[in-house]
Amino acid sequence: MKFEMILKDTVSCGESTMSCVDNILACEAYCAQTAIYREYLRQNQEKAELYKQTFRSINDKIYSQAMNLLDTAIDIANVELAESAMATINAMHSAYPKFYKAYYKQLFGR
Amino acid sequence: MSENEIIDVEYSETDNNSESKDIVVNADPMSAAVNGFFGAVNHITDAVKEYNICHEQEETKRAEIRAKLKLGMAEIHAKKEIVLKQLENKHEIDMLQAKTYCELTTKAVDSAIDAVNAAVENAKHTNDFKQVIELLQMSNDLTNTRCQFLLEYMDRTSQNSELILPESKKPSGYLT
Repeated sequence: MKFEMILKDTVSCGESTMSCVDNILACEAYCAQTAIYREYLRQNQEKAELYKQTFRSINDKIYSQAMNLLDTAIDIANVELAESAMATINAMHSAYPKFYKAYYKQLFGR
Repeated sequence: MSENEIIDVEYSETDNNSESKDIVVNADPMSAAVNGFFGAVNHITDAVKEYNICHEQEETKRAEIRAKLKLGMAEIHAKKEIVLKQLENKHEIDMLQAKTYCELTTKAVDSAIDAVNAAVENAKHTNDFKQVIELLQMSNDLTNTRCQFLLEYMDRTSQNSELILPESKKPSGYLT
């Protein structure tokens, strides 16, 4: 056959192009997975922000109440009331590390 | 035949690779010219036929490559859209649940805080803060319980919302 060499070259070029196409599809699949993961992280961030806002608003209210009670306890010289107010503030402080651990787990998934 | 009588035979090796050659009989110049002309036409026809075979095979291969690329891209985009839609739907439901839970927690804590504040106002008149201390203790317990529930809820939702993507081929040149 006169064009046998051309046919062989055509076949090898076709195989090379097919492998390039496989590579293009692999890149496209990788980009699609990246886009999905980015959306997943954005959603996690939204949920984590909601929890953080709720936690902070609760703690702000408890803290302001505890400070008012502390002021009142100091004014009337009531030790028990002052100790209760301090216990409230300490309990609130001890909740922060546990909350932020759960917050970062929600944010990053680990 | 006696042993002394040897038959002398000419022996020559035949060439198996020899191509069959056309035997041209030169009848006259005109016939030879016409024969040559038609021979050339046959050669050209064969060459054109073989070229067309190569061309068609190449076109078919190109079409196959184009189709594979188009199909692969469409499949990937369709799967991506489906997964994104599922994520969006799940996220809507999760956010609704989370907002409801947070609102309930905030309401419970607000009511506890209001109760303590009312008791403090009352105690300022009566100068008896024992009830305030008891209510404050109960409010602390309630807030701690609610915060604990919130943390457990966050843990559970973060576990349930793990994203598992199918393994795919890594593109060439991908650095790990």
